[in-house]
Amino acid sequence: MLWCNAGAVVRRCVIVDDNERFLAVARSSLERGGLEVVGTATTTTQALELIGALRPDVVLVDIALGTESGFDLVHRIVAESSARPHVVLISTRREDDVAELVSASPAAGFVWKADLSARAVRDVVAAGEQ
Amino acid sequence: MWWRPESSEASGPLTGPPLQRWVGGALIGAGLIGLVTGLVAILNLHLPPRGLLILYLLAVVPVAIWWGAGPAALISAASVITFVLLIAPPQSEGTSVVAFAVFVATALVVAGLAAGLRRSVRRSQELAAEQSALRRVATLAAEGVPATELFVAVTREVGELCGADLTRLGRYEDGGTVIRVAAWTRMPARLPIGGRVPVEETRVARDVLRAGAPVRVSGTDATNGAGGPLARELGIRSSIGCPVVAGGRLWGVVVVSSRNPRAFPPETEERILHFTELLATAVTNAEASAALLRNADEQAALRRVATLAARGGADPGPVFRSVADQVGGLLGADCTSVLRFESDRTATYLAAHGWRDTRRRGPGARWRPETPSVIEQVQRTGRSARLDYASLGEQPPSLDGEDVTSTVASPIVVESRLWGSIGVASRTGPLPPDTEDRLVAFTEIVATAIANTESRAQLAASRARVIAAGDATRRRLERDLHDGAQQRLVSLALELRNVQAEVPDELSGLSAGLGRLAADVTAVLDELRELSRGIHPAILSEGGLGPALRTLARRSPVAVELTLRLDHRYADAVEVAAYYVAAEALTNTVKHANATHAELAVEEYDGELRLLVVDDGVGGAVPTGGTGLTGLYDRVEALGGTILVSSPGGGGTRIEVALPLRAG
Ligand SMILES: Nc1ncnc2c1ncn2[C@@H]1O[C@H](COP(=O)(O)OP(=O)(O)OP(=O)(O)O)[C@@H](O)[C@H]1O
Ligand SMILES: [Mg+2]
Repeated sequence: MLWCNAGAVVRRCVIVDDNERFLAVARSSLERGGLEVVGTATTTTQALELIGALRPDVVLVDIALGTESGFDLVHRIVAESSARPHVVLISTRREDDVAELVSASPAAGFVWKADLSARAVRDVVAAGEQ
Repeated sequence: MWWRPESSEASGPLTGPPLQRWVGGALIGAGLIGLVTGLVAILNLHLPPRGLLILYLLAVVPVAIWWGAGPAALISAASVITFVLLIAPPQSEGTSVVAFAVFVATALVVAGLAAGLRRSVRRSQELAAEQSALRRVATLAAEGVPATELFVAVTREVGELCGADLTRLGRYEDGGTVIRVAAWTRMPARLPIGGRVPVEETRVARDVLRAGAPVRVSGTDATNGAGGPLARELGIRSSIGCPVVAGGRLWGVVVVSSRNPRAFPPETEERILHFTELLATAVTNAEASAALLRNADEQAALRRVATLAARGGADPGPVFRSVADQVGGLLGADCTSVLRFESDRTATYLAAHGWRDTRRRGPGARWRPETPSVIEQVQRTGRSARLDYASLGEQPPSLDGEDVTSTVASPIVVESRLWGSIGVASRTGPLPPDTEDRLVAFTEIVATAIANTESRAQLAASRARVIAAGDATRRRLERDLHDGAQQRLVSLALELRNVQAEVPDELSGLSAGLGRLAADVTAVLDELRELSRGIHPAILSEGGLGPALRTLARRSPVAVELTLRLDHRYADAVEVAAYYVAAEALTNTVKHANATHAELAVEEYDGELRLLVVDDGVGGAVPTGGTGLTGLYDRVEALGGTILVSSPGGGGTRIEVALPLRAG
């Protein structure tokens, strides 16, 4: 496996979601598509630590993190993390319902959880870079 | 009037002091004897003297008529002696004695006749005078002249008829006082009326009240009547008090007084009673119609205020103002205040009327009621209070420059707690004794208006609570759906895809089946999404009003021109209400308006969130048509906001809503 900087090949990934079952399903889905899930977190604090330590290429952030807001986490990742990973928002809600919020956030884009795949993530990152 | 028996200058020959009567009779008689003697001396030259003695009757009769039998007897004797000495010495003693006896008898008869005649003339003249005086008073009463005018007329007529020097008319009051309502005097003296004294401090009025019948007082006692100092000043020596009984109760008293201790003959009381009867009738009528009139006025005013109170919106201010404006006129007060008591023992002016210092009493002005003042007493005791001021010096500073002479205040009690007070003040003497009672009708209406307002506010608050609770439930439902079913279904869909991807190529049937399954789950997710959107827009709680309204506008099938001037989040209730208004209005536009264009504008302005939804459709929206618009009214009003729907047929629909930001 290659270590790559953001912008080139997207390989290493961290998922932030408070639902354990989804984390497991998502991991297998992404890894089958060639994205290595280097870590998962269920809270903002955990996520920020993990990102600092693992320096992933992309971070998938659930919009609804229990009592915390995924949007807040996105802002903090962008503001605080030296790793500067790509950030993709994910949610059980459809894009139509959250588009206003997604476009207002610094995230690269949005993937509906039911549609999650390595390819979908790479597409969003690529679209976000243009 | 010559027959008037009371004053010295009017005394005639018969009624003067005895000495005067005798001297007068003797002098005039002597003169007449001189004249008759002269006449007799002349006639004696031609006629025999015996027949001439009879001529001396010309001297005796006038004296008998004017000075009575006694002086006439004296003149009879003098006449016989003069005749015997000067004209013709008698042949015998007998002739002179017989002549003397005839003279005296004639004098007696003539004097008696004259006195009787005089009496009956006097009596008939008295009667005529009394009748015409009574007629004058009765005419006045029938014409319905103001009571005060009638009172003055009665005191004058009675005074003149009885030959009094001073007449007063007093009315008994509930508080054990008597108030002078009219007075008359034949002497130059200032007659104050409106003076009020405790009955116990009077002499005549008190005795009349006790006896319920006419009372006669003479000597120094007479000066201690209701007109005490005045009676003393005028030197009153005798008085009669007669009761005025109107409508079965002792209404008042007429007091006639004279400087002459024996001025009033025994029939005087009876004569006065004729007038008091007339007076009583007039008073009964006047009081009945005044009460009727007052009652009608009061009822009308109460009705006006009550209507205002019943109609009143959230603000009872108009009720306070109307009460302040009406009470003064009705209760005969010059100034009125409506006040609310605060927990820190201050009082706040809600409305005021008739005061000179209006700045001190502007609506919302606060002050701490001074001790003593009626407001302070009401505040302390919770009961009506009255303070009458004899001098300006005793008044609290808040009455400076108001020239107030009497103040009364009554409590406003709202649901058995002391809420405030209505106070009235007069600049012209004491307020009537029934002021406290009559104020109560007004304090009760004000209390009702306040209770209404409070219960209305409570109603709005509970309506807001119900709606807020409903919103919270819906939000939780939406969250539960999201965190539960949706979350699981999403994982399931993803897992199915994963499994599908693992299925070996030769099991294409299984793969296709799994694919259909995943598609079904996605379809269920879509249905669920529609459902949960209807329950509560997640974006509203997550992103606030701006993103939520933008989402709404973007999704609308009718093009929406959106103008948002919002820069922060608002209270949940406000955001939800605004969102629902916009959502329902746009839904209606799509459903009913057949519009091509809609506008949605929301901005924060002047402490309110203002929202405007306009479409160019067919118009004709009515809240009775469905539950949508009605629900909007409920939501907006529950927050104390206003909603205006104008939707003329063919003119599009315009909904304007303002939501207060502080109260929400
Ligand atoms: N924008 C509009 N243009 C034309 N007509 C309207 C408009 N909005 C409402 N109406 C008329 O007013 C009626 C009442 O509207 P309302 O929203 O209260 O009920 P509804 O939309 O019929 O039912 P609901 O909202 O309860 O589902 C509607 O039935 C419709 O006839
Ligand atoms: Mg509707």
